[in-house]
Amino acid sequence: MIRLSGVTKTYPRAKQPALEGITVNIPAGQFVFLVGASGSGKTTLLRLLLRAEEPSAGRIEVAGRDLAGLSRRRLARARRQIGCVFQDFRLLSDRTVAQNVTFALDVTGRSRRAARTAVPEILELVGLADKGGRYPEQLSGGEQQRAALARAMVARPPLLLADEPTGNLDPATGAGIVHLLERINEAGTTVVMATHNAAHVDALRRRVLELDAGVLVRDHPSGAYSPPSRVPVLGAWAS
Amino acid sequence: MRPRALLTALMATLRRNLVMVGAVVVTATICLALLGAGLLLRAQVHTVNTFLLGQVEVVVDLTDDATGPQVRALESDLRAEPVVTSVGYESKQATFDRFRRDFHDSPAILSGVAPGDLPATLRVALTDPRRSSDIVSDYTGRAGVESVRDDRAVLAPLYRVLRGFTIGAFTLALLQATAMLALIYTLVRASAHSRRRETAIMRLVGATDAAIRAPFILESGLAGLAGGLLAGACLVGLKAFLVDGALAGETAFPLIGWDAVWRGVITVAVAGAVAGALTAGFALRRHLRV
Repeated sequence: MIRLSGVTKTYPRAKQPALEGITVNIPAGQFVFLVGASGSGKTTLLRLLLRAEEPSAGRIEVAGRDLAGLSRRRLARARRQIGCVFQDFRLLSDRTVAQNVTFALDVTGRSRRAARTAVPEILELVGLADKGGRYPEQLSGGEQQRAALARAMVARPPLLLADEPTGNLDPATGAGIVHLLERINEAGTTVVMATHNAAHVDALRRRVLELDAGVLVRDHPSGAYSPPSRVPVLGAWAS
Repeated sequence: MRPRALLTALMATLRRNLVMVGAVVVTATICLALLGAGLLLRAQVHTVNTFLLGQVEVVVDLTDDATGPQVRALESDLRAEPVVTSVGYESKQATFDRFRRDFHDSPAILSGVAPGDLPATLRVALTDPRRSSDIVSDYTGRAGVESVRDDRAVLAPLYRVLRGFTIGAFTLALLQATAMLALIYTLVRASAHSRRRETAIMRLVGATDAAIRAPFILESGLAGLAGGLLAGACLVGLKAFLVDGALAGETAFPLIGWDAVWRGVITVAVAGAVAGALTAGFALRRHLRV
């Protein structure tokens, strides 16, 4: 689903590259956690996958397409294969939940009839079936993130990118969102989730990619948030 | 993007920028009304020209002592000129009769002129009255010729006034156009800023560049079109109340017809819509990331 070969990204006027020599392959259907400290390059990597940024070097393939070679029109079509959610939800405040979700179908030319069936289905999936008529400000943080997930998934993309989706949520609500992502993944969607939350990573034990200062330092098929050598040992502190 | 979704986006952006859109419409109306007035004045010059094409003649006044052979030589030479379509001899009596006809409602002028006072003439019709100066310069001073008069020269001040007004209207329209384009540019920039969250989401979910730009281009295109239609209404008013009303009985020349007015209306409406849409497209290139 995603193939990166020697991808480097250096922002203009930056001394250090934000990403350096990243080579990784993520097959379809995987659930991948992208971990690392703030500034380690997680968001840059997700932006490269959307071609919101161009790599300085290397090759990026998403769903079998080399992103660098896409025309503007083909890029727009390629983005329809990718759902995105963010820490700050990015919902339109002057539209209801259902209208926010429908918006994603409307602006990509999907028919009204398609929207009439797809929107209630996805709202049901994310647990907002009875809240489609509410405005974002009338929802809790967790519900807003569910609405954002519904918008990201309404066109049933095969890939979902989640950039710190639980960053603004309390632990229990965050766990609910991760559970929802797990269900989305079980239905066949590849999920790449950037996170700081060790509990979510440790609970699921899925593939972990760890970035450190733009370099991929760990790729574990069912890892924890921190590698074993760096897990604090409480007993050692106590002694 | 579905048309209904486009309409919703358009209505939302129009509501949000109502005051600015209003300003664009007013400026566009003034600019395009001036452009339209310039077009109508140009049409008026053309109308007068067409009218005069069949009317204006070069008149060769003959001296009283011009001999028959001299007059015949002049006639045959004039006929040989490529710009001349016809040459007609008018005796002193015929010239006096024409004078009486032309000034029949001015007895004061008629009373001071006797049949012998006016010269016999050769009246020369031309294919193009604008080329009369060649005839005037070639035949002035020839044997039997008193003077050569160009009717069109009499109308030169009228042409100057019409041309002056036309250039003035176009210049003002140009100045106003810079204000209109600057306003549209600012409108689109403000609009793009206020809708940046929406356009960012559109990009993410895979909307095409055209779908992202369409509401902005439609917004300013419609504002330009509204200005154009209002300017068109001004032109219709000008024709109905000024040309057909106040000026109708005041001039011997034909005035512009409705066909010229409708051409003007269509031109300003299309110019408004196209200028709005093109300026928006230009502004979006700089202020909207797609």
